[in-house]
Amino acid sequence: MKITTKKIALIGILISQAMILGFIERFIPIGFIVPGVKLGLSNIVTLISLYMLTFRETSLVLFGRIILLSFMFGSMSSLLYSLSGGIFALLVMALCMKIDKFSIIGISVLGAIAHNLGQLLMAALIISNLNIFYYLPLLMVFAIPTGLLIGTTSKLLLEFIQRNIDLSK
Amino acid sequence: MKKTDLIMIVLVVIAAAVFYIGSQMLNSRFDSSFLEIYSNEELVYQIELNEKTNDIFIIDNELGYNKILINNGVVTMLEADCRDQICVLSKAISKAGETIVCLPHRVVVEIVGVFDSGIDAISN
Repeated sequence: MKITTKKIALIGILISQAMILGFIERFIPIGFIVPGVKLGLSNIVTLISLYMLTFRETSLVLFGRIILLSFMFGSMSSLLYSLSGGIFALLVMALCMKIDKFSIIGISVLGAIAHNLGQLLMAALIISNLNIFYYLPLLMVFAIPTGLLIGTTSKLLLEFIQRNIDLSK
Repeated sequence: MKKTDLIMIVLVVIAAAVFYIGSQMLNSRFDSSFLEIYSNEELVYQIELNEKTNDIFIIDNELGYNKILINNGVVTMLEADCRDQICVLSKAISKAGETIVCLPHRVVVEIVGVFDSGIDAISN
C-alpha cells in the first residue's frame, strides 16, 4: 500500500477524533431505553473515512480506534465485542457503498444493524447460548433512529469537508 | 435520503416484527417452563417456574456477583457488580425463550419451555 505523509496524518487525525467520540459516548447513557443500545458516534468517523479514503485506509482508522480505546478504557472482552461489531459494520457499509443504491444515511442505518449483529454473534459465541438473539428485533428497530442520526451528521460533515478541504492536493 | 433507504428501513421494521412475533408464538405453546441459571457456561440452578415461584439466587463466580430475584414467577436481575449494568437494566422476564444476560460475568438467566410429555423443548 503506497501511502503519503498527508494520508498518514489524516488517518492519525481521524483515529483520534473517533477515540474522542467513543470517549464522549460513555457519558451519554441512552442504555436505559433498551439495554445495550448506544449512539455509535465513532461510526461518524468510519463513515466519512469510507467516503474520503480507500477501504484499506478506513480499516486502519477503524482498527486503530478500537484497539487504542479498548487498551485505554476497556477490557479483553470489550475489545472482542468492539472488533466483531466494527468488522461487521465496516464490511456491510463498504459493500453497500459499492452497490451504490443507498445514500450515506441508509448506509449508516445498515452499519448500525450490522454492528448489533456482530456483537450478538460474539456474545452468543462467548456464552455459547443462541437465545441471546432474542434481543435482535429490538436492537434492529433501535438501530434505525441512531443510524439516521449518525448518518445525517456524517452527511452534513462530509459536505462541509468537501466544500472546504481539497484532499487531492 | 434515497428511496432505497426508506424501502430498506421499512423492510428492517417488518423483519424485526416477524422475528419478534414468530418467537413469541413459538414460545407461548409450551405447557410449563423452567428457569435455568448458567454461570460460565455451566448450569448452576434449574427450577420450575410458575406464578407462585418466589426465590432469590446469588451467583458469585470469579468474574463477579449477581443477585437474581423471582417474584411471583417474574424474574429480574436485582443486583450485579458488573461495569455496564446492562443486566440490571434489562426488563423482567417471565415467558419461555426470554433471557437476561450479564455478559461481563458470563451469567445467563433463561426460561426454557417444556411440553408436558416430558420432552425438553428446545426453544431455539
